[in-house]
Amino acid sequence: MIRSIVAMASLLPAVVAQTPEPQPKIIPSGYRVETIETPEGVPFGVGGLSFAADGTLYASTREGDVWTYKKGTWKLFAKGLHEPLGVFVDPKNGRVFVVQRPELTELIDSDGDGRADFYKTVTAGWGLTDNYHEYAFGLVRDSKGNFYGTLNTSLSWKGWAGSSKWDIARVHDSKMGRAARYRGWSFRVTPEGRFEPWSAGCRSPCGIGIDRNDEVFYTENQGDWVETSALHHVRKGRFHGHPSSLMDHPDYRGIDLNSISIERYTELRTPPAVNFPHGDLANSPGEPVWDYTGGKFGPFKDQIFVGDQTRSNVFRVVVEEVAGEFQGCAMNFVDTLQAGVVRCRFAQDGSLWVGQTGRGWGSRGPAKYGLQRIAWDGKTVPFALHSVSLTRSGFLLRFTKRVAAAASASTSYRIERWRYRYQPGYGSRKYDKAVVKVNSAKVAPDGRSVRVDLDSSGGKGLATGWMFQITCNVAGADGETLATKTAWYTLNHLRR
Amino acid sequence: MHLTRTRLVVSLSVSVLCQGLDAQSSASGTAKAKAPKGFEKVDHDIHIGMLNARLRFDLEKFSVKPGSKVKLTLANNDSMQHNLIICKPGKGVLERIAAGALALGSEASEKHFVPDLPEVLFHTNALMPGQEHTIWFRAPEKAAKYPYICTLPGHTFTMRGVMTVGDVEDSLISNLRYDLFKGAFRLLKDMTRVTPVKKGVLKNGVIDIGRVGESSNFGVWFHADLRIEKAGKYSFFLRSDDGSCVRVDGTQVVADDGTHGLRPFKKGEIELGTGRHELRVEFFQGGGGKGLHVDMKGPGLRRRSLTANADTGRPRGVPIMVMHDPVVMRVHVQNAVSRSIALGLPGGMNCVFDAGACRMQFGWAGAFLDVGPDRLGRGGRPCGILGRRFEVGDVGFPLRRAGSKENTVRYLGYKTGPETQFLLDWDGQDVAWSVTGAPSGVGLRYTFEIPGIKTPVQFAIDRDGLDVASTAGTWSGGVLTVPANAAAKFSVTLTRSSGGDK
Repeated sequence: MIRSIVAMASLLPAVVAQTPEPQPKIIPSGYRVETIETPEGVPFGVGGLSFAADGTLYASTREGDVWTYKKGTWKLFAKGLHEPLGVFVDPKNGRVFVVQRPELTELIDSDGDGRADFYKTVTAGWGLTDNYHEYAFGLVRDSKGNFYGTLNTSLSWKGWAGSSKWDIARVHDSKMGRAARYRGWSFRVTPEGRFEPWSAGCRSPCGIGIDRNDEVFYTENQGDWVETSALHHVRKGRFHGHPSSLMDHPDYRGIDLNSISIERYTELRTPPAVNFPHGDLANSPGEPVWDYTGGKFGPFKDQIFVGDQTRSNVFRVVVEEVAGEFQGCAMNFVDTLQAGVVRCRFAQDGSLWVGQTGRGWGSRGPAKYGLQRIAWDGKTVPFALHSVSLTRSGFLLRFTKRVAAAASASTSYRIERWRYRYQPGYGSRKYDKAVVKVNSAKVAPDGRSVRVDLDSSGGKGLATGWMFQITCNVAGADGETLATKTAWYTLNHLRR
Repeated sequence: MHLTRTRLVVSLSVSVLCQGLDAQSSASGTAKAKAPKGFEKVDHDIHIGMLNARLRFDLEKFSVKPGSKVKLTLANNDSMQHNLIICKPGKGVLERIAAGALALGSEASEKHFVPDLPEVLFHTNALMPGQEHTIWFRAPEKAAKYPYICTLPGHTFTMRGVMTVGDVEDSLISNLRYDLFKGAFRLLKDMTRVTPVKKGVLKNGVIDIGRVGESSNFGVWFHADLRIEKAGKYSFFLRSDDGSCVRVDGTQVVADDGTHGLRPFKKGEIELGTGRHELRVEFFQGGGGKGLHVDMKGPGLRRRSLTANADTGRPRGVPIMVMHDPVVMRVHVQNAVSRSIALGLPGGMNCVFDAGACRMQFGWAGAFLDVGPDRLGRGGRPCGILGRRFEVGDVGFPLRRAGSKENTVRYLGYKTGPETQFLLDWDGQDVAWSVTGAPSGVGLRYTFEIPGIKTPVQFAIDRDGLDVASTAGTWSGGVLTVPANAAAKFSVTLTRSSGGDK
């Protein structure tokens, strides 16, 4: 902190260059990235973003502050919080809530001077040690007023844990454990402030999101028991895969979690709705947000946007219900931003605000922290792969604009598949990777979607438990190229 | 906090830059320090720096002759702001000056945290990290011990030293020079393969690896004349990070070679005759922490250090300062529970509350917290207190109802403002517990507001080592019983008794 102040002081006479802002390598046409200056001299590792009804942005930081931003001016609203990684501003009455390591807190400005003066505890229902990995992430609320958040497991590497309770609930020699209650759980907090452990099996659940139907999702970071980073659909009582959390599950009380086999854990868990291939798309994803801007953000209405901390990109996710469960595809969107992305929120004007921090791990975007905004120009529709959905015989690829005639050639598509292995070890390599034969590609009469049928004979095509990488060498009808050609589809269930 | 500090910094840096030279001082950022008339040659050239993020001067004592000409340079190599004030001797002087600095209020930064008090003899400016400031003065004629302190809020408790005016202890070493080598050395002998990149002189006769201008991958040979008054067996004590050795007249007396952190002192002995001997201290530093400590003793010579207190093994910190309002921080604090709330109070008292069990865990006198362990790198480690811990008689939640077994308490939140209030639900009864620094001495003052209470209230602590006072009730051992009619609001002051724990 002091160092940055010194740097600032020595820069006093410097002239700020007024050059156009450099743009990321990958960005669809019609979109621009704009960097928002954060308060001068203040470390600003973004932990949470939320817009109030009047358009004021609330940003919580790793350093413990909550700042407001309106009309280009930053004001400190609260300080001294313990790594607040989620903030929620009630759209109706402007009440401000944060989730910080020890608790869910309401920040109340009782004298109306623009600064919180009452830090009111809503709940402190979970356990906490001084283990550095025990993050509390949030924060979203459903239409009935329930909050949802997630609790990171404890790091259980000897010498790294920070806590004397370093080796509790390491299952099959995995790396994360549970040094205190409800580590590795998602939770719900009722409007009365009652803490309810909601679903188990989280590892490093950095982001939580909710759609307009009150369906809750969280993002998981690759690691032990997590084959690749992913989006999980949260339902009460679900087990998402990391076993340490089961120590606090009533059904497992007193049971040695090491006596349960990996095969049994495989049966118990609900697999991720959408996998994000490690190294290809995302390594440490943050908050999922839905584009409910009604088209103000371009042609990706109702899709999910997720930022990644390591890769410093923002990517799109589209889920569909198949056999009663969510699954779907993911595609890159904007890559690379100035710093690691953990939080995204849509502003009232339809722009996507991207909160960033490297948080000591470093990230592909070289800045330590920051805030950027991605805006659509309101008119330029980029030629892009809109979404991928599963059919009985292959995939339906939707594009934002008409495709060129060559899109009806099956050779325009390269489809590969592989499997990940759910295991106690750190991540998974791609197993049984192979090219899937494309039998045919049919362009729909409106020219904007292509039905790709696969050769599924001998179990070589569509099958459950496989990841599909779909690469489209397709141009637009007017010759435009795709900003990103590849989508990844997670096939948990087949269409009947 | 952040905004306040930013403003403070800007005004300070401007004032330092614009001030230029006056007759007796020179701040960095201007031309090279130029001595005022009559001080071109001085009797003593004193350099003082800081131990990084530890609220200590790296030189905590020095001696000058009465009436001598002194040049004193304060170099702020710390990550927070500091000044240095040399004070008149006397009881309570430091406390008065510290309180005076605090009372400057909004004028403090403009006045460099120097109060307008007759006890202030000489002072530097308040320096931002990286700045240095030289002052020249004539030492007092009266032989005495003159304390010096930093008067930034809270710093006075630990940033102290003494300037002795009187007979100057003859320096054991003189003619101190050094040869600087550059390279990634693993052993002392590696330095013999290269030639020095620089040669320099250290006028104040203190062996100091912090003065050679390098932080990593360097080596240095310090050469000096060692004057021995009494013949006999002399002992040299050595510890360093990384390798080092001591040679006298070419003979190695003690060595701690190789790359390593600071370890316990190694000792070596040598017979020396009277007269001048050639001392050589060899040292090299790879990466990370560094430090060099050389002590010697011998016939008629008590163990004495030849080196600056230049132990820089600790990573740079992120100290949080308390100015005129309390600072409340939820962080992990060393030796405190996970759900802790640290409270920095104006005037230099600090404490840490347990938001689970609703109890005060302990206090400390000094500056507030180094949050570097939480904020730097991956962080998440407990933050260090920047001062001296004191106990507050913690026995858990301190309130009881006389004769009632029921005693459950729930933490509800805190209110900030001129006084920080912890709000509690005590078996359905609202309690507001305010905390300030004790009005005098080292300690805390609690005020309990229990609106509508109809029963007597007891306040219980472990009184060992504490002086206690209260606005109501009677003490019996560690239990204060406050009658019902006075229990709606009462205050308790706990201070470390003079014979209490350190």
